Amino acid sequence: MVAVNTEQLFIQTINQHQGIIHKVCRMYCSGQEDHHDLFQEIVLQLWKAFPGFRQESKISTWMYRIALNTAISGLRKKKIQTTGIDAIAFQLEDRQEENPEVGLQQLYKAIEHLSDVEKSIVLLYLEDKPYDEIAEITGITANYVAVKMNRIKEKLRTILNVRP
Amino acid sequence: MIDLEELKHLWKDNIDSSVHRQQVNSEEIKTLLKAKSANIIDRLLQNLRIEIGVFMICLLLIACVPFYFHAREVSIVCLLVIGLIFIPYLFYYIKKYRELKKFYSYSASMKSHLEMMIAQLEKYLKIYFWGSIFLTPVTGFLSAFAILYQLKALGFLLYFDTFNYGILSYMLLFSLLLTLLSYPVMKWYIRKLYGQHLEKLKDCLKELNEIA
Repeated sequence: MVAVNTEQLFIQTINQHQGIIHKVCRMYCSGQEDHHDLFQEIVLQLWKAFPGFRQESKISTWMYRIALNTAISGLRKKKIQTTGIDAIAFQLEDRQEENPEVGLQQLYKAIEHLSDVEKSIVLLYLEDKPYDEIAEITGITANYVAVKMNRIKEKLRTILNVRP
Repeated sequence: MIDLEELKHLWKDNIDSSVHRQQVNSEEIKTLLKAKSANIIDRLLQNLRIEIGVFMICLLLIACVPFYFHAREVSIVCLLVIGLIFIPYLFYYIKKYRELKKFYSYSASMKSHLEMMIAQLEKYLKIYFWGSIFLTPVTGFLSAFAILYQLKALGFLLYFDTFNYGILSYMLLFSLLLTLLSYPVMKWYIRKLYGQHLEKLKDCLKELNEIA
């Protein structure tokens, strides 16, 4: 009975916050199949960790931790083909006004050029998480997050401003 | 020129609709909970179970030998070999299994999680490597001894003395040669299977710790 209730509570929690998992998957996977595999793996890891969740942190912080840890260290990833940097800058600037979805796709392509750690920080930045919460998720200090964020911004600027 | 704040807006304006298209329902989540994990630790556990299974089958095959030959000496040697091989392997597998069970730390911060994963994976791979290297000569020596002894007990190798120092030295040499050969093979095998993953984790941690 307790197990059933725990399962129901878990499913309810995932239903409410599954956006977090999809965003992490989108950040780390380019194909639909990879997305599905990572989504499944994150749900399984959350399920394993769920009985130990003591509500000392926000549910979203807890979910981000597990989802990002799974994305970074859980699976042996296949090599992802990345688009050339010049092409990204060109496409992003020219096409995002016509169709914002295209702009988003190009943003993802730019993100593919970041390292796994940078991807996690940039995702939390895009999600408007304060530096304190990013620090709590990543385990580095808030000041350190700020330094890293500046470096990532520079890197993204370089990627997105290069012209063909 | 794209400003990063614009990127944030672009993200916010589009991500929800993109996520909405991929939403899964309660039933699908329930199905996912029954799925098999592709996680590296679960795969290591699965590989360990297969290894234990194959090992048990080999031991069972050795245990069946006396029933086939009906010779007292053969039975004694078989039991001896089973006992001598089984005990060190039992400790080896228990140690490996316990190490794998310690791995789950996904709810820790990314830095702590990476530190724990690296430390535990290194420890596990060390046990895997040195356990295999140590057990190779033991298995080689005992197997060679058992085969020769059984052949003699069954009437073959009439002019052959299994307990002769020269023979024992040759068998020991054979075991050591097997160990020498298995050293680079095991190193390559473990590196191929898990070494690259370990390097990747180390790179992530190094990057997380880098300040400038």
